[in-house]
Amino acid sequence: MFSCKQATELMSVSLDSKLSLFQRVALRFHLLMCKLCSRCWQQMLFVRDAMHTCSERVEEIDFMPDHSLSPEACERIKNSLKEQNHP
Amino acid sequence: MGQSQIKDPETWIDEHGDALFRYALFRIQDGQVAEDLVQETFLAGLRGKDSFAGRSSVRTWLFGILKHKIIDHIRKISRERPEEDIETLADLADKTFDEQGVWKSQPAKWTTDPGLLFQQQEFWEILQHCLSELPPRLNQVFTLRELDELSAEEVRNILQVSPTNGGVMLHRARMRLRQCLEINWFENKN
Repeated sequence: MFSCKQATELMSVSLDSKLSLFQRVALRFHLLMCKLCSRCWQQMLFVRDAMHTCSERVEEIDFMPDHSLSPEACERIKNSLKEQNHP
Repeated sequence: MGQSQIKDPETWIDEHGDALFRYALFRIQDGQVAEDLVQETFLAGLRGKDSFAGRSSVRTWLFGILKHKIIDHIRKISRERPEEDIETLADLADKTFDEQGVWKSQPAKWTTDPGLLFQQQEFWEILQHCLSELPPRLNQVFTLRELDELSAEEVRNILQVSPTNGGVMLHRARMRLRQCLEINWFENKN
């Protein structure tokens, strides 16, 4: 039997690689017995789901809405494009 | 769809410059580097525009280039500087669990419908805030894994971290994100 802390470590590992049969069984058993870890597991899955959705909607979500390319940077980039386009 | 827009690259900056810059800034958190990455993206786009098939929009295509530039940049800076000692990162686990590894700061119940939540700009702002609160290396390991959806092995190679440290970092990032969302979103909303 392992601790809740170890259970959360195993949950994280399971999101990146395949657990051994022993680890899978042990984690499953722990999750059945422990309401808090079971909740944490659902929330970890939610966080991953949110990140994947964020990745899919990368063009729709307003990232850093208070920031913009400075006029100087726009000018510099435009010039570099012109230069490369018509050398 | 995108073939007409592709013809005049100089209009790209006005149409897509801010969106690309903001995403780069969100990922890299350094305005100067973000500007450079956007410039490199446009120049690479210009060089490759003849191969643009028009199956996606110009913006999607440019975002695809930028994402690769961001990963290349992270790979480069990871090669240039030695790995931070993982022990120097304050461990949230100390506050989350007691010495026996039992929950000290218990996860609260979240009542949520992800479908509705993901429609709200405010939720994405909180998620961005929580990601920005992560120490830079944790932010990189986590975003490469979950946003770029690279395998854990690819992430470790890019960041030059050992399998053990990579695993510890991903665990810490997930636990911190979970807790930050709980404090900033779910406790506020319920």
